Order: sequence, then structure tokens, then C-alpha cells
Amino acid sequence: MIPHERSLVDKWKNRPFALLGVNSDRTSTEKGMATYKEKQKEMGVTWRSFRDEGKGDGSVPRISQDWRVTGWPTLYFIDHEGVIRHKDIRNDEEMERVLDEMITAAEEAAKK
Amino acid sequence: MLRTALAAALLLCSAPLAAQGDGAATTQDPQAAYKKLAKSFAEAMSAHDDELQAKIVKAKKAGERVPRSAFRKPTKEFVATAQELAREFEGKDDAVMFLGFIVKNATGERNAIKWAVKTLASDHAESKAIGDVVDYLPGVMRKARSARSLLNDVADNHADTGVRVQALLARARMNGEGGQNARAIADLEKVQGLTKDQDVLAEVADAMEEIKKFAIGSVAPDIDGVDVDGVSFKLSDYRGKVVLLDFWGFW
Repeated sequence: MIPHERSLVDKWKNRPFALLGVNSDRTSTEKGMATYKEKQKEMGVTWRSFRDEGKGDGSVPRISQDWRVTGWPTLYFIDHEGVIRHKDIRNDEEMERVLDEMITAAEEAAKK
Repeated sequence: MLRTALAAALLLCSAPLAAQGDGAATTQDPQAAYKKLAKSFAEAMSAHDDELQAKIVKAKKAGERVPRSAFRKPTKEFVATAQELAREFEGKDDAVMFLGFIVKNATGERNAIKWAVKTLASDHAESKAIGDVVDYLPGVMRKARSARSLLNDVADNHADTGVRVQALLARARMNGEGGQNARAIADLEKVQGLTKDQDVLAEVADAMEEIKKFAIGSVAPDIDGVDVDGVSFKLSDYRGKVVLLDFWGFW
């Protein structure tokens, strides 16, 4: 998951695309945050994440709860106008194809 | 003061029952038996929570991990009692609340859950009392497959409209949470056709709104938060770009 995501971020760095995370790790404690940062470096997570402060007790944190997330990872594909276009496409190739289409549409809209 | 009065009243009520003897075979008042079971269960769960919290604090100080077994809820004896009571009222509507108790509260007692669902399906699927337990069925579908067919049966075929509505709402909730939006909407529309109850209709309208909010084709609700470095930002800051929003964690 993470290596593929990183490859997408690299591939489309000059196009209108952003990978945004909503991270539910246990970052509510100092120790949890330190562990998170260590892993972030180790795994090469270069993109930005909302901090959804997991408590580590199995409860669903705030943003995830708002979005009715019940399983992780959950993926939303949002277009340049903020409209949800797809959900939970997890196959690498399919994901790339769909996103490429959406990015092209965003570029065309920007030209107008 | 209130509590003492209540305790006295309870004692008075239970006195004639107790006089019949302590043997398990005596017929007891099912409501009273259920209340007693539910009360002792709630107390045991809250005691367990307190203990668990204390263990977590202690382990943290010692830099140790809390063993997984500490998280296991001590449900076993209560499930066994519920099972006994369900057998005592076998075939009667009174059995449903005890079977429901098992479906709702059992954790590791897989066989008891299977048995309870099977009994609900064979003895009570057509009873009105089943309406009170349909909400718990989605939670045990992985442990007892027949829970799904029971919920479907009640939602699609029950003779009592009120019970059907309860089952349809339970199924819609389950499908909505599982991302099966079209199915959830179809059940909610059925409910709209079946009931005139304003509270239920309001609930249905809310549920539909909720589902549409995150459906494909809807504008994503904004997220206003902070990143892991403490910098505030919003999802809408990224308008003009395609966003892949990923709910994730290392764990």
C-alpha cells in the first residue's frame, strides 16, 4: 500500500493531485506521536495526513466517525470540484487508471 | 433514601417468589429475572472496565503490555444464566429477551450465540417479540450465519408492520454502515411506505440524508483538522486538485 502510494505521489508531483491521509494511529500521547514519526520516516510517508488521534482502545476517532469509516484503509476519490467520484478501489492498476482520468479532467477544467 | 425504599419494595415483591423455594425448577417472573440478570451483568461489566483501566495504568508505568486476556469480558456466567432462563420459558415470548441478551452480550461464547439465533429463528420468527432483538442480529452475523437469514425473513415477511419496520431499519443501518447504500435506501423507502409514525419517518429522513452525504456524486463534506506537525488545514484547501483521501494507520 504505502510504496504504491509513494510512487503515485512521485509520478504526479507536477500534476493537480494530492494524496491526503486521515491517520488514526495513537498520536494522542507523546510516545505514540514519537512512534508515528519514526515509522513515517522509516516507511517513507511523504504526504500530509489529518491527525485523527486514535486512542488505541478500538474506538473510532472523530474524523473517521464523521465519515462513517468502519474499516481501514478506506479510500475516497475526490475530484477537482470536491465531488466524491469513487470509493475503495484498491487494485493498484485500476486505482491508477481512475486517478489519471480524474487528473486529466482537472487539467482540462483549469485550461478553460 | 430513594434507594432504600426501592430495595424494600423489591424485597416485598420477591418475597412470595422466594417462598416457593430456591430450586431452579420453580417458575419465576420472567421480567424480574431479566432485570436481575441485566443488573448483575451491568455491574460486572463496569467492574471489569475499572479493573482493566487499573491494569492499563499499572502496565504503562511498568513499561509493559497489557495481556490480551485482560480485555476479554467476563460474559460467560451471564450467558449461561440467560441460556437457562431461555430454556425455562422455551417456546414462549418470554424466552425472546433472554435469547436477545445472549445475541447482544455474548462475546467468546460462539456456540451460545449460534444456539440463540437458531432458537429465535425456529421458535420466535413470527412472534411480535422478535422486534426487540432484530437490532442485535447484524452484530453476530459473522459468528452465526443464520442471523442474516433471520433478519431478512423478519424484514421481508413479518405479519406485523411495526416489527417489519424495526427489522428494515436494522438492515438499512447495517447496509448503510457497510457502504451498501442502494440496499439501505431501498429498505428505508419501504419503511416510508409502511409507517405513518412521525418519529420513525424523521429517523428515516436523517438516515437517507446521512447516506447521501458520503455517496458517490455528492460533494465531500469538508474536513477541518491539523496535520501531524500541528499545522491546521482543510480538505477544501485542495479544490482544483484531485484528492485521494486515505483513512489509514500504521498500527
